[in-house]
Amino acid sequence: MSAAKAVLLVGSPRGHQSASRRLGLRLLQGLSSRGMTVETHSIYGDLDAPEKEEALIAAALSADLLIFSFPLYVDHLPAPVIRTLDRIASERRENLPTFRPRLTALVQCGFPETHQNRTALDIMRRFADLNGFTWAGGLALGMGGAAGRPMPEKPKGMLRNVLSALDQAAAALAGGGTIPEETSMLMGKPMMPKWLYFLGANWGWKQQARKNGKKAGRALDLRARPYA
Amino acid sequence: MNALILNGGGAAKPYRDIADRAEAWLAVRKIPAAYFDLTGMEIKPCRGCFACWTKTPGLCFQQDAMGSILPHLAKADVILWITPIAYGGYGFHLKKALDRSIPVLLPFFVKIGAEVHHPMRYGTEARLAAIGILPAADAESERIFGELVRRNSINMHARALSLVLHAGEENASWEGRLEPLLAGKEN
Repeated sequence: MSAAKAVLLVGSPRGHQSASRRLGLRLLQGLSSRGMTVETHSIYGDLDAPEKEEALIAAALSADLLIFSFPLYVDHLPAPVIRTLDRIASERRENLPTFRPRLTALVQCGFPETHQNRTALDIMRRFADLNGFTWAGGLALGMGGAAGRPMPEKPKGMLRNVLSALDQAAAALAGGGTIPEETSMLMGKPMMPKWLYFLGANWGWKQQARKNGKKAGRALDLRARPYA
Repeated sequence: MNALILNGGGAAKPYRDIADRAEAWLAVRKIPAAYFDLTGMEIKPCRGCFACWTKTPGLCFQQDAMGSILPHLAKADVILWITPIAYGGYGFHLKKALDRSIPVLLPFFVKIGAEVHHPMRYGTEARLAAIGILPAADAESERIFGELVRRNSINMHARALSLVLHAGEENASWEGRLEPLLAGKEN
């Protein structure tokens, strides 16, 4: 019997540096080390290449475990992820009515509160229910930008809870189970005090603008109102 | 007052009819409305680059049809979204425009209640009505849709109303439910 196949679909436009990709790949690493075959596709990378998009859909339809990893956009999934769900729903309605793979999702947002991702996970669960997937639970993360950097091999530092949770989730999913509630809770724990993240983020935007202003040779007004 | 109607369902029934009725309802109240059928508009995906916050504040670097919507979004006091409901959320066409709406926000964090959000660049506190269409009753999708609109209203600093219409019910009167929103009594 061949090994069960996990397919990761990354729904971030930020390419290899994206937190969603790093988190998804870390989960895949845990699945691979437990004997699953794994495959990764980028939803945004395949947007302008029809043949790549077809390969992505074919991979998604062949998965025993389908994993979506994406950033929260406007309290919801990024639009290209919705389009991918629509394609999968349409294909499954036509071709694969009896095969019931598992589906999980990993959502992260730049706001410090993990619970702001809840609606996006609800949407993914509803998609699973309506389209013949078994919902295997989901993982959500606030302060997600902090995960957009190379990750240590073992859980430590700021990412210790995130990395432990991803490993626990991989163990549960590779064993055919669903992500335990306590694993989701661990994943969502704040990586730093909220006040520190708040200050750091506001400082970071100003720094970024200063750098960009220097390059442009003029000071940038971050509060500009070009359409007033 | 200015209104903006974003139709994510196109010219097909019932979407165009709902948009027409919304326009008529606004016209009676002498509220000028800008209308966009998003299904025919080429709006590229947001690149997540934040150039609209830190390089060209308030402006997206991508040159496409979204450039004609953003000036109206910046000034809108009343916003109407019309969309098929997909898995409890918005359909692709409405969402492709919403993803590109972040130039009307400021990058900084502010607290709203116990949560962190972004301030509005233009200081507007709009009224938002989201009208979602389902082929048939689906309690869970309707619950998620209502919660999504509520979450969006927090992010947009807006008073909001979500309306779900089932196929075949679109001829019923729903305009009356918009009145309290306009009067500022709905949240």
